[in-house]
Amino acid sequence: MKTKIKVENVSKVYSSFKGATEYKALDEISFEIKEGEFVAIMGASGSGKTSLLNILSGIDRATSGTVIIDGENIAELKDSKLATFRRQKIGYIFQDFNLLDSLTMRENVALPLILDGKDVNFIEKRVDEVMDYLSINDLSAKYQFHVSGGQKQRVASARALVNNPAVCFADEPTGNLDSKSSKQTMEMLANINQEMNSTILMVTHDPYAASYCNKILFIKDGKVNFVVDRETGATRTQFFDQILELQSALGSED
Amino acid sequence: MTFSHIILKNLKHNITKFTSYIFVNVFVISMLFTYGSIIFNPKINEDPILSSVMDFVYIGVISILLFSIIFISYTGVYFIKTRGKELGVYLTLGMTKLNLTKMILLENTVIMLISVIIGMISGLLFSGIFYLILGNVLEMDDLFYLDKYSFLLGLGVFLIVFICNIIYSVIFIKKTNIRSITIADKTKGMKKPSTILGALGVILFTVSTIIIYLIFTDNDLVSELNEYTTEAIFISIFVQFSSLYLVLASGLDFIVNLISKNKKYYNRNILLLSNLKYSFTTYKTTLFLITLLMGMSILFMGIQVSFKVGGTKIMNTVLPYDYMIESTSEYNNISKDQINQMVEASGGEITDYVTYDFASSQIYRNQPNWFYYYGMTTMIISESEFNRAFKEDIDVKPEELLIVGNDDLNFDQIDINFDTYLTTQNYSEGLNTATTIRSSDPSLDEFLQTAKDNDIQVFEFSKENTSAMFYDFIDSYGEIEFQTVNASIIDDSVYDQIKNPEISTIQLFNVTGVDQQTFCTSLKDELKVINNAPDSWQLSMPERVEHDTVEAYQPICKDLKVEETDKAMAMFSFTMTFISILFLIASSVVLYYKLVNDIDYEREQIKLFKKIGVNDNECKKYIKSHTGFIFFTPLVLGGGIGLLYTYAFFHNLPEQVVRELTLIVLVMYVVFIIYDILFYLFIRSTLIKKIIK
Repeated sequence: MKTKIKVENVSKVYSSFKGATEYKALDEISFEIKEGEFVAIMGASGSGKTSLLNILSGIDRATSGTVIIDGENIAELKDSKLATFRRQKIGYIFQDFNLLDSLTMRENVALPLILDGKDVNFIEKRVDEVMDYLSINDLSAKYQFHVSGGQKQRVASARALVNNPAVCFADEPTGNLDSKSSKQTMEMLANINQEMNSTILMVTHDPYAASYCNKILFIKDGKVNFVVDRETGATRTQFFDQILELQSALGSED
Repeated sequence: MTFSHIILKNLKHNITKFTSYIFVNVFVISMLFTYGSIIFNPKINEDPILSSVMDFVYIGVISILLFSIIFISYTGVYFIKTRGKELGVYLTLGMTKLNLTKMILLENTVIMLISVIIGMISGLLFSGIFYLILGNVLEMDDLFYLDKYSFLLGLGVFLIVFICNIIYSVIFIKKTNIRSITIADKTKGMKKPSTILGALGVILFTVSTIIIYLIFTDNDLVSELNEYTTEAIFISIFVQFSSLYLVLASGLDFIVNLISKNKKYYNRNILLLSNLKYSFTTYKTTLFLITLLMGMSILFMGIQVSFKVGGTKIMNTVLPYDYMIESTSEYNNISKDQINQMVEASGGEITDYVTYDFASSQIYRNQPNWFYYYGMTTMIISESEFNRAFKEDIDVKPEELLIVGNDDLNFDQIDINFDTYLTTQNYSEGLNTATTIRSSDPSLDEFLQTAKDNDIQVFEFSKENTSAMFYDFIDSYGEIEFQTVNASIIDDSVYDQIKNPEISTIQLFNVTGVDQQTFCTSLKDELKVINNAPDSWQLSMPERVEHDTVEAYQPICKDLKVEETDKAMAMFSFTMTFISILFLIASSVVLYYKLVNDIDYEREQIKLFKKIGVNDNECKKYIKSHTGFIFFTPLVLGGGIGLLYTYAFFHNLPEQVVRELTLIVLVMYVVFIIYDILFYLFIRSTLIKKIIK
């Protein structure tokens, strides 16, 4: 299987500012993610989850180390190239959806392709496909404030998938959702992962959401603390129990 | 910690929001204050020349007044409405409506006090600057004037409107509930795009603007309106302004909807277009205000420029000669030789000299179903007298009438759709008859019968036999209004039929080699002695129409008239320019505050863009074009309206003056555009710095 994400000795240091002391969010972290994997990164608040995701998705830059996504070292990309790279290779699902108020749901989905200057007919076709796949056709003409949180996250997922990204990042995708919507969202992501063979990397602190994945990286103090793979044949509920046990075991080390 | 502690804390925190609100109030108070002090200024009111332009100052004050009311109420309403979220939080936390009302009242009182204090101080400052400059322009000292009335006008209007606002706020709070507030905040005033409303707005605005233009230019297309013209104008103006609001609020929905038919173009500009739609919806009232301010600024400046330029032009056509003396058997009995002696005594020389006799007459006109007194005394000049005086070779047949007019280069193009009836009584009897006839409103037959019964001689000329032309045959009477003077030229054979004509004489001449003002004074002195006139004679202004008193027979000196006109024009120009500049500044400030207030929102927006993969350059491009649209829409729409109404002011002037003025006013508009561009560039860089960094 092809390696989709390769992280080598990545550090992120927030330099001291206005009297605050220097802070090391990521400390020489390294790991690999293969094509078609659905990986969760878990960890307590302040463990460096979000810093890691920001660096991986090109929103922020690492202080040192290399990040290779789909064969491209993003640490070496210039800002303008990075924006283009993000547009073409990365899909991003946010905790707070980040849909644009001013656009209809359909336009929001189409936005990455539009920004990329794709042909009009191609855009229409592709957006139809994705929205069909996620069954959100009926939301097409609606604006953000007309739809529910779960629906917003479906639209945001459609937007993340529309450009057929090499990797899809999700930052606490269930963080702002009720349990029913959370379940639907996670089922949707799992389906996407299986049916489309998409590589998905998700940051979460929610064991329930993480139980949908097939691999979990536990992060602590900016390093990978523990890695767990879902055993072949294990059900989601079994994996969920395993995560809970691990979490309490890892947590009690403090 | 007490309740009032929280209120104060809140006040402090919201200070930026309050600043623009207070600015608006201060601006309104100081404007009312300054212009109030002009209205009540005795020095200006007592000056015969300056007071002649007071009408325009009143127009200025009324527009400021109307504007103030809209301005203060809008900002007040906006102020309370934009704080929905805050109020919602208070209500959620259990603050009672009474508490909330108390808080709003206290806030408002603080705002009012600050506004009034700063408003008064800046009002004093404004009027100080105003009078200082005006005094310099007019070369008059001690113009500065303030009294309780100027204070009352500024304060009174402000307080009344402000109190209305407070009442509105209190009612708003009373009616409000947490749910509606939270929803309003969630949608940020966003609504479903209303393409139909937008289309309606665009269409109504375009149509009403075209109709107004057609009416102003007396286009044949609207000639059907006839006596309904005034109503049509008012309705069109009303529609124009209401639809302007629609255009700003929803016009872009419509336009973007049209554009989105071209997917490719729409996609390329999707962020800009969709956000503009959004901004115009949330900015609509601000944009409407700015557009009005911009329009008024351009209009006032335009009126000022047209009067100044048009006035000078017309001055030369209505005063073709340096001097004019009108003599009757009773007044101004001075001969060419006597004038010549005076000129020579002053060391000068007469270069042109024209004299002719005329008989006094009243004009009546008859149109289908409408017989009326034309409201004017005319001079009847015989054909041979006119030809002799002006070395012309005009031939008027006995049944013909040639009207010459001094005021319009297009005079020979006027539409003659009337038959003319000239009575030939002397001046005062003619006026008496006219007054009687006007009050009884007779038909033509009744008029002719009355004339016959009273032995009044009437000459009749059919419209087919009437023609008109412009001619420099007289120095206009009047002050700065450039009173029209008409003369009726008729064939000698008809002229000779006038029974007991009251003959007057016009002497027109140019003089070189003298100080014109000194010569004018000595001419007046001389005539005063000849007329045995009272001492006040030289001081008073020549009256326009009252031709039976000595006052009307002052000689006309072009130089003096020009000077008087210049003085009035200076006052007029300055007042208008001052208003115009203040309105322009106000529009800039409102826009600036609106944009600065929205920086946080824009920053969030840009953050979001970046997350989705929009790069820095694209973000900058977005900010530039987005800000640009918000900047230049008022300039285009408001400017268009301002120019339209400016045109209405001067379109009646002679064609070549109109052509020249159109050019000048367009140049003026370009200056506004340059100002706006500079301001835009300044704001743009500030915004980019603040939003992107």
